Amino acid sequence: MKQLRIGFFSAFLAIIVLSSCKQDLVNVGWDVDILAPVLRTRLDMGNLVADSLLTADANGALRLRIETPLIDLPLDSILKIPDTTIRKILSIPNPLNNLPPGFTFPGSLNDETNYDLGDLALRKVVLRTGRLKLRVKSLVKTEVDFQYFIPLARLFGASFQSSGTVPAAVGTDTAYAQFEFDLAGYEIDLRGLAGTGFNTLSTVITIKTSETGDTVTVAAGAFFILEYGFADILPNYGTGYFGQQSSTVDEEATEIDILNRITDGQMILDSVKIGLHMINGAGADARFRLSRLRSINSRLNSTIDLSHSLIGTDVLLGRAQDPTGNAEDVIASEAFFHLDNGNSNVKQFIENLPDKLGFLFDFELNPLGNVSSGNDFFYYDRPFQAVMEIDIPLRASLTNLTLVDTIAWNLAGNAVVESVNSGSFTLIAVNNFPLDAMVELILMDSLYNALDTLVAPSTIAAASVNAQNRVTAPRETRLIIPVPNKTSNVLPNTRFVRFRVRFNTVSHPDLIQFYAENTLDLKLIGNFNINFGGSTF
Amino acid sequence: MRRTALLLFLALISVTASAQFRNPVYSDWTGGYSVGIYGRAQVSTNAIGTNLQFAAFGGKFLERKARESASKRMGKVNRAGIDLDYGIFAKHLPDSAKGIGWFVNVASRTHGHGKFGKDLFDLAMFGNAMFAGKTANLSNIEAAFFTYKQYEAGILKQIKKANGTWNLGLGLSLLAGNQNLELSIDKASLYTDSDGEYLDGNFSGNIRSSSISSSQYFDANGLGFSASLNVGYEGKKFGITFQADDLGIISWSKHLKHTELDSVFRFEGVELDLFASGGAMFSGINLDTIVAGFATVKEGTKYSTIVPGRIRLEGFYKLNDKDLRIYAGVQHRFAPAYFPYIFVGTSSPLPRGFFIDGRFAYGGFGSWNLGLELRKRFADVVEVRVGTNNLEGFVLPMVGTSQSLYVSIAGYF
Repeated sequence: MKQLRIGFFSAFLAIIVLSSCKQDLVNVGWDVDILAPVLRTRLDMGNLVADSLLTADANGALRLRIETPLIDLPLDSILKIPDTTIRKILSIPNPLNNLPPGFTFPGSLNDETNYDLGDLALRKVVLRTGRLKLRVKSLVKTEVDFQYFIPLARLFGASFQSSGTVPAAVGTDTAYAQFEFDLAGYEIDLRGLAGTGFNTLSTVITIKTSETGDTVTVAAGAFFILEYGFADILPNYGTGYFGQQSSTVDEEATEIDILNRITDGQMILDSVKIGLHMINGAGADARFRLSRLRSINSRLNSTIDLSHSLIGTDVLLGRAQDPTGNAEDVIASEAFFHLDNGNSNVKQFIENLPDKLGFLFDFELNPLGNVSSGNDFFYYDRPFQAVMEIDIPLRASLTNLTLVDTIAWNLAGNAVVESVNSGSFTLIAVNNFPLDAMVELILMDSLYNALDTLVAPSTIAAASVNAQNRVTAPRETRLIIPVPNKTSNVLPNTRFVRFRVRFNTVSHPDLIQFYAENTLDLKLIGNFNINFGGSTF
Repeated sequence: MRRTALLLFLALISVTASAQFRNPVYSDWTGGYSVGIYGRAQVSTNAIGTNLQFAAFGGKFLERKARESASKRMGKVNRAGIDLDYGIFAKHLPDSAKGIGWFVNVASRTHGHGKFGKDLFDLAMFGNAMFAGKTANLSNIEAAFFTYKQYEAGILKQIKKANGTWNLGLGLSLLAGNQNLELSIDKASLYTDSDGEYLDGNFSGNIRSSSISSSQYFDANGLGFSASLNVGYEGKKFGITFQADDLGIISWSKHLKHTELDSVFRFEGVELDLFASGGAMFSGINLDTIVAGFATVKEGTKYSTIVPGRIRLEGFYKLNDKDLRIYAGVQHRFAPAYFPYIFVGTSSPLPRGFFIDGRFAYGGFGSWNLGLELRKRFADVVEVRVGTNNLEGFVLPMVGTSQSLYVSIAGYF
């Protein structure tokens, strides 16, 4: 028996030992040499400015055309209709006894409310947004059905009408109900039922006891209270007299996403043209004075104010015409001002590489008073606007013009990266720009702290150019970037890579024309020894 | 999937477990009742040194020198195979001439085999940098991996004649397939640009699997049948035996996957849009994304695989009355790249109930093999058998390319 036990134990042990080999296989490892492309990218002039803003002429010469809104002033910001609440109380002088179900209280409550809108005298509005809020209280000891009309508010020809039911009051407790209705799209005549007023809203309320309720007695005095209010009123269209309104806008800044990728350096331009287009889409006269227009480079904390005869000068824009009653057909009143190197400092203004434009202006509506006899109008979609049209031929001299992009690069948990022993990157740059470029790659952690410099500032030589400084042949530069053990240890903790490229024109200070074919192709190739095996997967 | 493929690959190139040389039921014709338990493991390749296999089995770092040595031995087409079997059997062989014996055998079997080119080994073991400016030819790769349970029952018959004895056996098995992977790469290549600026790939092939990623033990993802046969004659001075083990098929029907590889691609790195308005992003090269580019996962359909059974023809000659004998034979298995296994050997009883068997062989999934088996009977009640088909794997690991070990214990009543 002892021999039998020995035999079985031996066999069992052998099987276990052999089976355990499978588990160890997962831990096996070896090193391999990998040579493979990692990244590739192409930079062109569209990387300095937005692609969609570049145009090329028949010769391929690039120019930058930008149309950017400077001021956008919808009249609703001036012609404000405030939120209002009206309270109406229904009362009877004598008690009404034994009112049967379905009893209509005698006499509707017709009301005309005149809203105090200051100088604003509106005859009609079409609402873009707006809500009617009804809050109802009842002392009637049965359910009360009510109807609320705004007879002069119409949508597709039908007047606004709403209804609701208030629960029965119990004892001396007041029954209460609240309702809300959407008024978007309603055309509201604010002249009142007589048709001669302004800012006047006519409403009608009728109430009756519920058809399914009890017979009740209503005591003398107030028995029904209605509070109605208008909220979030935003007109899509309005007519009337808008009064003499004025406003001053100071230190307003609008972002200009054109040159804000440039973080440093200098760009000397050949010429700049700016067209300043002012458009009055409102049916009211407007006076506009641009007191200051400022080029703001917030990255370098540098500002340049525009110098031109327009600055500080009143511009009177007549009222727009509304021949068809449609916003699309409104004939706006316009004024155009041309700014160039000869009549202003626009070149310096743009060479400041602004990422924001700051301005100070005054705006006055109906400076001449009610000359339209109350026929001012406005459409929400036809505001008062100032639009800047910039035209820059891309003929320039660049000095240390710097672009920076921070790339999310999360390699945490990537077993291949974690298993890098050593190696190198090869950066192959094919430069078709008449520019020297200096590239730099910095590895950063999740808090944007620099961990290591992957590529120290290294020069990529400019392409070959002819006497006109036009590229005749691209030039290839290869940079070998050793990745020592220290850096490979940093890779798993890297969350961002900061890519910085600095450009200098080859024939500085001569101006160079840029063409559509100017590109810089970058390819990063990895040549690494990595540990490979089960854990790599 | 990749993990399993890695395991299979590693196993094929570096590891194995067992294969007892002969069928444990048919190898012993002692009369009466007996029960036995056996385990056997074998790893065979024609090029990869045993020391490299030991390192892989042990989960160790594979030294470059050992890998280089294996690479130097690689031919254009290389082969590898693994077996890991264990089981239990019971049988009865009547003493009377008229009686018919029976046996039952329950076994768990794991088998893998494959054939591959030198470039695949070099690419996997050294990376693609060594192929800079060259094309790695990865075509004609075949690999298979099985795990299944075998439930076998059969009959035994001994016919004793005046000059000798006929030993006849026939078994039928129900096979419950657990896992399967069939990989076939008809055409594949990878070109690495001399400067690493791009990689050109070309892949065409199929991978079929049945629940290969799970580790379930009893699930039957496929069903099949196999048969075994023994026809042997043992005379006073010589004998000859024909054996067939586990010849059959398994039809796989559950947890099926079919991946079709068919793509020509060029990889030039991940394209990065620097200074994009939404911000550029790079998350590294995702292997799944790259694989998805040239692999199409299809709905799996039923398929059948041939079980890698064996047929063997062996003869012996007794040199003396003490049962010192020499023998020779040939074995073949139904698996790609299996080279007919030719063997010659000698066996002899030793004092104190010991018995020794030694042989030289060439072929199989490996190359040359030295086998040694030692067994002992304890009071005619228990027999313990320990052996290896690849002694060279243990004593000459720097030159041997196969390993194996088998153990069995039988009890007699």
